[in-house]
Amino acid sequence: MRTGVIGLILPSTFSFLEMMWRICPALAVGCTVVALVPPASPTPLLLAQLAGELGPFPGIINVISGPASLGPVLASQPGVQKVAFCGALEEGRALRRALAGEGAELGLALGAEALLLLSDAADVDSAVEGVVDAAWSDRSPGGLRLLVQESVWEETMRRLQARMARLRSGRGLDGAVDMGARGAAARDLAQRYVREAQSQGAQVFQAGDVPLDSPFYPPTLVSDLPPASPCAQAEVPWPVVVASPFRTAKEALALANGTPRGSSASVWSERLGQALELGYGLRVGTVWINSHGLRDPAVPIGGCKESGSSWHGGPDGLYEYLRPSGTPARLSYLSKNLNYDTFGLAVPSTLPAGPETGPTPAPPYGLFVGGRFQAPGARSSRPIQDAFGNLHGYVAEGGAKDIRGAVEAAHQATSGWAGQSPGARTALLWALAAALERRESTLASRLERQGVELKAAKAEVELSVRRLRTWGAQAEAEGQTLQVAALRGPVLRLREPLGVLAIVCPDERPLLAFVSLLAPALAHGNTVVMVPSGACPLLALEVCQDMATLFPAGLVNVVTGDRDHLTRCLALHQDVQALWYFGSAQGSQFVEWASAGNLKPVWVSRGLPRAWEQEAEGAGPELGLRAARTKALWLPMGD
Amino acid sequence: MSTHNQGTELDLSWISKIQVNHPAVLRRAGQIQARRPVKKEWQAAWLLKAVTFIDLTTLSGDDTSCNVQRLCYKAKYPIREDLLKALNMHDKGITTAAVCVYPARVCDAVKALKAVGCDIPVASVATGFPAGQTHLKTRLEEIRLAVEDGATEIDVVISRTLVLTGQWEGSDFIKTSTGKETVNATFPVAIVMLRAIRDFFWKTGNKVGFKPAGGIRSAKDSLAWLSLVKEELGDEWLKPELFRIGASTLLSDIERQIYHHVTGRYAAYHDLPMS
Repeated sequence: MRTGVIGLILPSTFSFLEMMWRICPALAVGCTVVALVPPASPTPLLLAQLAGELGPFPGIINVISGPASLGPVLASQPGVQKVAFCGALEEGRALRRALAGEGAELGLALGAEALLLLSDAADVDSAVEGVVDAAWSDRSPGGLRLLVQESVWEETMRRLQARMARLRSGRGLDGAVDMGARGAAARDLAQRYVREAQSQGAQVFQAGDVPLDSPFYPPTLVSDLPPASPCAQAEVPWPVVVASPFRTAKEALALANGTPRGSSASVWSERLGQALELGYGLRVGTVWINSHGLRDPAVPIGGCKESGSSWHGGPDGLYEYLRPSGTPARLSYLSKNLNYDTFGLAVPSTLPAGPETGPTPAPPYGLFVGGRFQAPGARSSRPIQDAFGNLHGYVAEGGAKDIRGAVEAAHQATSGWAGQSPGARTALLWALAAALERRESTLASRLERQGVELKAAKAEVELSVRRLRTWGAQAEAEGQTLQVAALRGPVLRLREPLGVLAIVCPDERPLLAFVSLLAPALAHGNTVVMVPSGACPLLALEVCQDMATLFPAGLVNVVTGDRDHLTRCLALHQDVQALWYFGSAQGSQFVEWASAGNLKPVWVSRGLPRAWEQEAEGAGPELGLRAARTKALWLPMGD
Repeated sequence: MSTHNQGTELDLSWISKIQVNHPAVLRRAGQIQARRPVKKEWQAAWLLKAVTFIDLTTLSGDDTSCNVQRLCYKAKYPIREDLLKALNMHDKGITTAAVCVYPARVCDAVKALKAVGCDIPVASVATGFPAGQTHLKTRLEEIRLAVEDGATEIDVVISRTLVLTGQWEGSDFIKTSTGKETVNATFPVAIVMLRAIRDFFWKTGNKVGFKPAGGIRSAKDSLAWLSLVKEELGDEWLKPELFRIGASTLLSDIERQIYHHVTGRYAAYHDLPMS
C-alpha cells in the first residue's frame, strides 16, 4: 500500500526531467508530494506552475521554494511519512542526524560522481566519447573518475586531449554548444579542486583558455593525482575528470571500490567475460557496459555506500513509496533527552546470580565468532534467568573488541558466501533446518523454562524450521530482465548481497525472531553479526552449536552482552553494510542517528512489537527486499 | 644515515665468546610484547613515530611505474590529512623513512618522489636479491647502476656462501632477513641482533643500525618492535638513521588504528586511500 505524504528535497542541479522522475512514481502509487526546491533556479517554478494546473486534485503536488535548511522542518511535520533527499553528502548526513527519531523514513540519494573503467580491450575512441557524455556535457550529473589500464594510458590521454580541444562551451540553450555553465558555486568548487590538485603535484590539462571572471569552467583533465592526497578522497566536481592508471582488472576493482561513493560506473571492454566480471565486481548502483549515462524510467537508479541507498525509477523506485499493507502510519517517537554521546557507552554491571540449583554447574557459553565459540575480550559472563527466577545459564559479555572481531570474521566470509551458487545456499539452510528439527526437544525444553507452554514451544520450533526451509527455497539468483523501450539489448536488475548485515534481535520470541531474521539475510548472500535476545540468548546459542558444524567459519557470528552497548558498537562501525534493530525506541533513535557515519541503511522497530508468528510480519516480502540491494546492469548490444 | 660505520679488524674471538641461551631469549621476547603496552594518545603518538621508521616497500614481480608511483605518493602522505589535523600533526612533515624498490624501478621512484616534492631517500635492494647467488661482478654493477639512477641506500644481500665458510663483511645497518624467507623478523632473533649491536657499540663506539623486515603487518607488532629497540638499545636508536622497519601493509593497519583513535569508529576498506 502507498506510504502517504512524501517530502522531497531537491537540489538546484536537478533538471526538470529528473524532478519529474522522482515525483511521478510517488503520484502514480497514490502518494502526495511536498517538494522543497532551492529558490535560485527557475526550473522549480515550472514545477509549481504545473502543480497549480492540477485543478481536480488540488494539493497532490505542493512546491515550496526555500533553502535546504528547511529540510528538517519539513521532515518533522506530523503526517510526513517519508523524506527523499537528493543532494550533497554532508547535507544528507546532517539531515540523517536531525531526523533520528522522527516519524518520517529517510531516503538519501547523494553525490553525483561517476566512474569510467577503460580496459585495454576497449574501443578507446568510443570510450573517449563515453567520457565526454559522462563529464563534459550538460546531461552529466557531476565529475568523473577515470581508470585507464596502463597499457593504453598514453593513447587514451592523447585522444582525450584531442577531443577536449573540440568541445564548445557556451550558453546552454544554444544548440551548437556541448556544455554550458552551472552557476558560480559550481565553478568555484571546480576551481578550488583543480588548484588543490595542482598543489599536490597533479598534472592538469584544460582545452583552451577561459578568462577568470567568466561563468564558464572549461573541461578539465587531471592526472597523476596521488591517491593519498585529500583531493583524491573528495568527490570530483563537474566538469573535472580525474584519471588514474591501473595494471590488472583486480587492481581496477580495488581502486574503483576504494572510495566511499558508489552511485554509477561504466565498463569499457570488448571482451564480454572481462566486462561482466568487472560489472559484477563494482560496488555501485548502476553499471553500463560500453556506454555511459543511459537512463530509462523503467530502470532503477540508486547507489550504495555513501551514495545513499534510495532508488528512483523501476520497481525499486516504486517500493520506495510503498509500505507493507496493514502497517500503521509512522509517528514520531523522538526522545529529546537521548544523549548520543553516552548511549550504550558504559556497560551496567550485572548482579551476580544466586546459588545454582541442579545437579551440574552450568558452563558459560562463549561468543560464536569465526565459526567457533570463543571467550569474550572482557573475560566475563552474565547470568540469564529463566521465567521462574532460577539461573538458566551464563553467556559471554561481549564488548567493542568482540564486535570488531565479529565484523572482521564476517567480512572474511563474505566473498566465499556471495560466490556460492544459490543451490549451495539452499542446501546449507536446509541442513540447518534439519539439524534444528533433530534438536527440537532441547529447544522446546529451553523455551518451556522461559515460560512458554510445551505445545506452543513445539509449534515455535516447528515454525522456525519451516521458515528456514522457505527462505532456503527462495535463495535463487534474483535477476530479472527489464523492458527498456529505447535500448537494443537487455538491462538486468540484479539483486546482490549487502555485505555484512548486523541484526539486533528482539527480546520476545528468542528462537522464532532469531531464525526469521537470520534466514532471509543468509538466503540473499549476506554474512551476519547477530545480537540475540537479551532475555534468553541461550536458544540462539543452541542454534549456533549446529551452525558451528554446518556453516563456513564467519558466516554467522553471534555476540551476546549488553544490548545497548553492542548496538552502539555496531551502529558506529563503518564497515557494517546495514543494520536491523528490533529493540527499544531510544535504541532505534540512536541507530538512526549513528547510521549517518557511513550512511548504512537501517531498519528499526521504533520500540514497537512485531508479530513474528504472522506470515506478513515474520516472513513477508519486506524482509527479502531489505536483505539485498539492487544493481542495474545495462548491456547494449550490436556488432 | 649520517655517519658510516668505519669498521674494525675482524676479531673472531669476539664471536666465539658470545653465549646465547635460547629459552631465556624466548622469555624476554614474550615479555616485551606483554609488559609494555601503550594506549590512547600515547599509542597514537608511537604509531606516528613508527610511520617515520617505515621503509615503504614493494618487491613483487609485477611492479610497474604505476604502482611504484602510487607507493611514492603514499610515502609522502602516509596518513590521511584530516586525521593528522585532528591530532595536530599535519605540519610536522610526517613521511615514511624511505621507499624500497627493485633496482629496475629506482628511476620511477625517483621521478615520482620528485613530482610530489618529497626528499626521502630511495632505497634499492641489490646484489642478486633475494638469494644473492650471482657473480660478484654483476652484483657490484647492480649497486653501481642503482646508485647512478638515484638510489641513496642499498639493501645488500650478503653472500651466505661466504658466511657459511667463515668469511665476513661489515655494514652500516643489519637487517633480519630479505623478508622473502619463510620465517622473517621474529623477536628472539631481533633480541640477539640488538644485543650484538649494543656490544659492538660498547667495544668500538660505532653505532650500527637495525632493520627488521618481513612479516610485520599489524600496528600492535610495530609498537612491540619500538618497545624492543627502546629497551635494548635506548632512545638514541629510535631515529630513522639507525632504525627502519621494512613493511608494506603495516602502514594501512597503522592508518586504521589512527582512524579509530581519532573518530572512535572502525573504518571500512574504502574509507582510507590505497597505497
